[in-house]
Amino acid sequence: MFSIEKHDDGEGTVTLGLSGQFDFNAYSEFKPKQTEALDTPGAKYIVLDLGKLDYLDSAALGTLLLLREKAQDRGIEIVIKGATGVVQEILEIAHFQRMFRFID
Amino acid sequence: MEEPSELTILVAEDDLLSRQLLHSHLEEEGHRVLVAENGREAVETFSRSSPDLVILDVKMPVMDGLEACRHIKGMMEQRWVPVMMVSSNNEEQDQAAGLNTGADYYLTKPISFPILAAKVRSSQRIANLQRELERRNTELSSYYRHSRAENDLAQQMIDRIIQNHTTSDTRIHQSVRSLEQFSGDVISTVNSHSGNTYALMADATGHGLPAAITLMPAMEIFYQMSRRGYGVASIVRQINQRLRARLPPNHFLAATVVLINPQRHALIVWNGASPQSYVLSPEGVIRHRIQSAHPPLGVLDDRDFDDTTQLCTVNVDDRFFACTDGLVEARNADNEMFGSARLEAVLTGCSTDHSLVESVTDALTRFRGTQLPDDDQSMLALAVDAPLEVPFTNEDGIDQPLESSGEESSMAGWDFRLELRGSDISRTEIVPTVNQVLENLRLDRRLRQKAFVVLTELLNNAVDHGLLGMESSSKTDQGFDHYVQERQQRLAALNEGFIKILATRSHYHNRNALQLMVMDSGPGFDTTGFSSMDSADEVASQAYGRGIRVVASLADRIRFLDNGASVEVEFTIDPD
Repeated sequence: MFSIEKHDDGEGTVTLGLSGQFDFNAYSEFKPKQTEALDTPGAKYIVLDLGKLDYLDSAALGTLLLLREKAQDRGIEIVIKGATGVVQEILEIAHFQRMFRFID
Repeated sequence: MEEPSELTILVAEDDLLSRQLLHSHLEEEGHRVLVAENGREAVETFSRSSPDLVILDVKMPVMDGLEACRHIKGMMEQRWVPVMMVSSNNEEQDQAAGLNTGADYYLTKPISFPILAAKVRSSQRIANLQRELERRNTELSSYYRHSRAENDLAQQMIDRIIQNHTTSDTRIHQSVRSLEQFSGDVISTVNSHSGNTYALMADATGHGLPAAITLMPAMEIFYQMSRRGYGVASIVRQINQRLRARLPPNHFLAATVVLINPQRHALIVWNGASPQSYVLSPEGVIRHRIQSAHPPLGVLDDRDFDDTTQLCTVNVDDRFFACTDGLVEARNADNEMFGSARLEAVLTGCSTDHSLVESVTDALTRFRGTQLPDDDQSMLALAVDAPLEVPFTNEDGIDQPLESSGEESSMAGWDFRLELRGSDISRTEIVPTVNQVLENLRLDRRLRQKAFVVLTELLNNAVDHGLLGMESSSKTDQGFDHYVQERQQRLAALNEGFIKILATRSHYHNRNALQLMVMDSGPGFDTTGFSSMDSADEVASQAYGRGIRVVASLADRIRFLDNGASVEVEFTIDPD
């Protein structure tokens, strides 16, 4: 199962905390939160907290790339936080560090 | 809940009074009523009129209500219709018997009409739900059929591209373990005329048609460019550029593109987002691991794209193994992943006596047990050939007939000259460029293929020995690693010197001929032993480098000038 929580610190950073399996089926849940995050007034960063994520597939990688493109148009930077284990491995194999800022 | 609308109700009751009472009450409630006097009539009416509700008296002549209920329930394959049994027995056993035949409701006589009306409404709500379910079910099956058809189309398109380009080669083993659905894995291989092997292993995002749409341009570019002798870097750059321009950013290709050049003992890999691939010795020792070094194809803009390849030294009978993530991420019943450690354990010790693909397949099958795969599990194994001595003869290896060129007059002909200087030498795909020009000049295909191989060899010599000053003698087995690395460094630093290529198609001495000349700014080499304009056969018989032997086996004449810094090769073109 996939779930997503949004937190807005009111100072330009919106955090989306993802947990469970991020795959093709998660898109319908991810999309509205993504839109909210992108439309947050004054947002400078969208932090994707992957600390509780178990797995992500290539559809999820594609979703992140779409988000990145939309964010770039609005001058927002995407930050990937807390990726560990197999999630970290998948992101490394896909060399997402070339396209996203990573923090622990 | 939506307001109940008019129902068609079938009433089976042998007693005239009871039948008429039921009829009139139900009509007052706004329903349409069909009547039957016994079970058989009820069954017949049911099959003709498909009512929304059936009310059956238990005790009837000819066929009783229980039997009629069984028949009617047996006819409901497509559509569920509620059945209400009516009986004067209020015994539990009789009720149970009625329900056991498949009835959904049970009413006792004398009938309470308010309760009947309530039960009819309740059955109607269920019938509405049922109808909604049926509608969705029909929609879903139609959607499923469409999706199957699209998936089949995707598979057919991909198969067609692969078939159009397939050459049989016992050195290449591959397996695309495909699910019923086309899930986006593809392996393409090409054996070039100069003895090189190219392979593309790609895993597209998504399944079915979307995956095929991503794969098709990539495969076409791969086949076209590898046939023409382009390098791995040029091929991946071109694929990336095309995908980036045509597809949204969530459609991309995890890909490994590999080129094995047995003559140079070189294996060149670009790995973007694929699991690591391996080079194995003939005994099954893992000699290299080639990690993903890039994002997938189709993600980065051309200016950000990095076409840097990884170079491994390989020897004859070494093997290259690659797989898609469906293999390493395959899970067993305990939800464990197969993983690269298990994969490496299988590869290690798998000597040339065993097929890598079969060994890995067996191990994976054992690991997975009863668990069904949920992704493609594709793998590719390539064995490193000995360098070709004679790439092909006039009789084989060429699939196309000679192109006719009937309108050419004896005065026809052309010259074509290409000169590259300094760093442009290493930055240019020289052979494909010349090949493209020769194709545009309508040189026939068979001759072009010979010219391709000859140019490749002559340019190798000119660059390696003429410009980079590499020593042939360092090409011993121990020295290959060093040789390959050293060559790459010197090539990257090359900023002076020149290469000239001259191609001439002429008619003289009553002969049609193609001449190729390759000249470099280097010091040449000791050509003692090559007399001027040797017959090619004589040169071929001498123990010079393999490259020269290959050239000599293809050309009709060969000549060394300027101490070997220029080589001129001639092909006789058969008269029309």
